[in-house]
Amino acid sequence: MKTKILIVEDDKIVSFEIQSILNQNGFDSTICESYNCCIKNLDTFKPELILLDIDLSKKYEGIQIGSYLNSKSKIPFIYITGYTDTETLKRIQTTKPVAYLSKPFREIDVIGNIELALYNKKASFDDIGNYEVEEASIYSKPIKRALEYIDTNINQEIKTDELIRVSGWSKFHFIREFGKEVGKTPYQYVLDEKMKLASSKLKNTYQTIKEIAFDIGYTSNSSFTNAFVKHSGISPSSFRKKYCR
Amino acid sequence: MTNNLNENSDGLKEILDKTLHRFKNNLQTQLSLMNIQSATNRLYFDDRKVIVDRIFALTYLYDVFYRTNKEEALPSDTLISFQFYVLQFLQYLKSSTSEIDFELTGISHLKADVDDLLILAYILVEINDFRMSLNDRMVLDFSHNSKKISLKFSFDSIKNHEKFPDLFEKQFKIFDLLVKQLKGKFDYKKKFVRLSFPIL
Repeated sequence: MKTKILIVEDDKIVSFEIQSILNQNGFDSTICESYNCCIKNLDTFKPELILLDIDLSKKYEGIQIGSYLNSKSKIPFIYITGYTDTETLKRIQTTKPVAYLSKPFREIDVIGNIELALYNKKASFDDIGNYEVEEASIYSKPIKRALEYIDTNINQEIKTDELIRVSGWSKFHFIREFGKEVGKTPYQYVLDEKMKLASSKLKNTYQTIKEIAFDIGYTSNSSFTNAFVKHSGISPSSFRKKYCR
Repeated sequence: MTNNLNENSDGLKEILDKTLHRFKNNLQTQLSLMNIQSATNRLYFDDRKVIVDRIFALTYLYDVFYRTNKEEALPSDTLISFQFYVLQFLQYLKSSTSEIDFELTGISHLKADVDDLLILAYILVEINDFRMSLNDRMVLDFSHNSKKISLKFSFDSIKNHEKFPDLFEKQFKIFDLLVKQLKGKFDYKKKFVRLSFPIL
């Protein structure tokens, strides 16, 4: 079966060229021109790798997609960009692409980067297999279930009672064991994870602060702002000003 | 004063970054067109001339952009005079043949984005190669209405332009991609082909 690659590029000439290169090299590919089309194709086309232009109809729309892929999916992606300034490169690094392809590119650059990314993906899956064996010895099964629950529900309000229910332990035992194994209280861990995600969204997306607040499970803008200030010592808008151009 | 100098220096750096970014994208388009040519077995009547013409289209574009913004401290957008650029590029095409006639009606005040104008120039290069393969004379007529540019073109030897896509079926892919890139629309009439683009 052919490896599926999603091309996210709004320049019709460049996307057609990339598709021709991929076809000639035995890949199956489809083209998207926007954030929404890309997200939809993650489920319908099920790509194994994504080639992602940084600027779509909106500037840096591709970084927004990269940020989404980094936090919500394990599909590796390669940025395609004419940017080589350090500000943009720093910005794209936070979304953890497997590579970036500088324009103008040649066929050998495209195929070389794809082959390397697919090889690394396979190698990392092998590592994950080994890591999971090791991880089993780090976290007990009830704590692992709670951590997975947090990861899956990070965009909602997460109550400690729910974590206790998922773990299957008593309240006292769960809180004590969580502190021992993870190194912080369940409440602190959830807060840290939410703030990590909020910081990444503030840096890499054009979402409003209100949208980010709702995305990570806060029901009001002010409660998110208070939590962010308490956690980071700076307001979300000042954080965005400080870290974005 | 120091603040002003710093602001100017930041602004200049931003413009240089943007220009470098655009230039690389423009080079990518040129390279992509050449690669699509071989991938689709597109046979130009004169492929060397096509490549040279595209390079000149790019050169004139940067020339006009530079001259447009020379008076300003720092340019704030990427718009240039539609008429000035198209006129200059058509005159360049005419310098190697007398078989091109053109008319630019009511567009003297229009401005368009540099990237769109470059694609339009590449479309003219394609049409000119069709002309050369027909060993014919061509007439181009630019006009504008309600935020759209309309380009009508016709060849003396084609009696019915409704058959234009069939006539150039094998050579049509790049032409079609360029028109789509500008979100343009084809309209085949008996006496001419009309392309309309919302590029203003």
